[in-house]
Amino acid sequence: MEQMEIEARPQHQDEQPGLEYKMDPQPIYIRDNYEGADKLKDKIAVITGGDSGIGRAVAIHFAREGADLALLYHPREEQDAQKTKALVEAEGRRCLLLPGDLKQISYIQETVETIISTYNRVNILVNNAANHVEQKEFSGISDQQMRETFELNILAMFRLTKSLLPHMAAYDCIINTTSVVSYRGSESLIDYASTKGAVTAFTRSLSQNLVERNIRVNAVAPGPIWTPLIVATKSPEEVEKFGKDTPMERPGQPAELAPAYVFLASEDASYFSGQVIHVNGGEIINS
Amino acid sequence: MEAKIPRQHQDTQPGIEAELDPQPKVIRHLYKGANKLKDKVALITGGDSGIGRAVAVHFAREGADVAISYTPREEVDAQKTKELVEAEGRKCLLLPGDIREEAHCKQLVDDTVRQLGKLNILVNNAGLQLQHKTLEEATDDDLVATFETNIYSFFRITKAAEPHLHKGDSIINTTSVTAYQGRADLLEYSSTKGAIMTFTRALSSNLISKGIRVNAVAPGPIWTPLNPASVSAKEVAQFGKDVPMKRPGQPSEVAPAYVFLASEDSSYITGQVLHPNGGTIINA
Repeated sequence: MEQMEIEARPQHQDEQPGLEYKMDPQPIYIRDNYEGADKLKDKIAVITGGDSGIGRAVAIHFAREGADLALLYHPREEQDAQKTKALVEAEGRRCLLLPGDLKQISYIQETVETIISTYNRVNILVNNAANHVEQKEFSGISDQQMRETFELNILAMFRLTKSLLPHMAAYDCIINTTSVVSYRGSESLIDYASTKGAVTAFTRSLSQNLVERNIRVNAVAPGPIWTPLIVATKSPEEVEKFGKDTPMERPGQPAELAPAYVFLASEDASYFSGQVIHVNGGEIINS
Repeated sequence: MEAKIPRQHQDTQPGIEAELDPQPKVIRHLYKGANKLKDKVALITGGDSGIGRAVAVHFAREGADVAISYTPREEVDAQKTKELVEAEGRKCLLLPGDIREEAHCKQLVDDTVRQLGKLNILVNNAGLQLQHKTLEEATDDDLVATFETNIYSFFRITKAAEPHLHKGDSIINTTSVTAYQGRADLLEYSSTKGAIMTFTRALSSNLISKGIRVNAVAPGPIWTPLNPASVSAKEVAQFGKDVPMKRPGQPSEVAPAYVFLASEDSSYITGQVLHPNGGTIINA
C-alpha cells in the first residue's frame, strides 16, 4: 500500500497522446504482491488505449488472470505498446498490437477483422481510450477540438462496440472507462466531461439493451490517476498538485484501478450490470 | 446461478438458511483464493447465513480468520458456516448474542481481538426486515427494533472497533438497493438502509486521515433467509423477477464485492457503494 503513495513531479509533454516511458516517476502498473487466480482464464480481451496508463495496467492484470489480449493504440505510442506487450508476454499470454486512429471508421473495421482472424472471438471489451485538451475559456474550445474529443471518446466507443458485438456471446462483458468528471463536471475540460457523461449513460443504456443476451456492461469512473494523459495536457504546476485535492490527498496509480476491471470482467461480478465503480481517492459522488 | 424458487415462508425472524429451498449458493466451485486477505482478521455481523455466510467463506478462502455474530436462534446456521470456514483452513469464532444491546456490540469486538489477536476488517451486515403494507401497521416496537439492529449496531460496533483498526484496514457496510429506490412495504428497513449509505460516506471522510477505508455494498434481491422470513410465500416465488436479469442473485455473487473492498485491490476506493443488483440502474 505504501508503494502507491507517490507524489507527482512537475513536468509537461508537448504532444498528444502522452508517452508513459517519458514520465517521472513511472506509473505503477501492478503491485508486487498481486496474485492471479485464473479469474479470466483463456478469455480474449480487447483494450483501447491499452499501451499505457490505465489501459496498460488493465492489460497486465488481465494477463496475470489468464487472458490473451488485443491492444489498440495510437502509432505515436509504439514504444509504450512494445513494453506492454513484453509485460503481457512475461505473464505467459499473447498480445496482439493494433496501432491506428480510433477516429477513423476504416481503422475500426480493419482492427476487428484482425482480432477475429487471430482469436476467433472476443470475451471482454474494455473501451478505455480517451483524450482531453484543457481550455480555461469555454470559447477556447474550437469546433475541431470538440469534434475530435467526441469522435475519440464516445463515437469510437459506439463504433467499436457495434463491430465487436457479433463476436461476443452470453457471459461476455463490456467495461467502459468513464470519469469522476462525468458526475461533477470540470471547468476547463468541458468537452471531455461531456463525453464522459455520454459514456456513463451509454453504459447504462447498453446494459439494459444487452441484458437478455447475458452480456454485462459496466464502467469504472477514475479520479486523478497518474497516467501520460495528465502530463500531456496539464501545466507543470498543475501536474505537481495533481490529486492533492482528493480526500486521500494523492493521485491514484494505474495499479489501483486495474483490479476494478478484473472484478467487473470476471464471474465475481455476475450480478452486476449497468453499474459504475468509483476509484477516486474518496470523493463522494451521488451514488 | 439461475435457480427456481418455490413458495415458502418462515414465521420467525431471523430466518434460517438450513430451511431454505433451494439452498443458497455460498461460493462458486471455481472461485480460487489469491491470498488477497492473507492472515487478516474479520468480524462479520449476521455472518451465520445469507450474504454474511458467503462473505465469511470467501474471506477464509482468501486467507482470513473470521468472527461471526448472530442471534442464538441461528446456531444451526452458524455451526455450518464454522465448518465451511474451517474447511478452508482458517479459524471461525462464533459470537452469538443480540446486537441491539450496546454492551454486546462492544463485547463482539473485545472477544474478536482477544481470541483472534487483532481486527482488520469489519463487515457491518446484519439487518432486520419487517414488511408492512401500510405505515399504520408498523408499531413503534418495529420501528425501534429495525433501527437498533440495522444502524445503531453499525455505530456501536464501529465505535468499539475503531481503536483496533490501522492504516490499510477497512470497514464494509451492507446497505441495499432500497436505500436508493425506497420500498413501499419496507418503510423502516429502507430508511435504515438510507442511513447506512450516508453513514458510509460520512465515516469514510472521518477515517481517511487514519488510512482506514469505508465502503458499502447495496445488494438487490439476493436469495437469503431474510426474504422468506419477512414476505409472503407468494412473493417469495416471484422474488427477483422484476430486475433486468429477471432472477434473484445468489450470495456467491455478492461476496466477491466484499473481498474486493476488503483487499488492496481497492486501495484508492473509499466512501463508495458497489451495486450487485441484477442490472437495476440507480443514480450511481
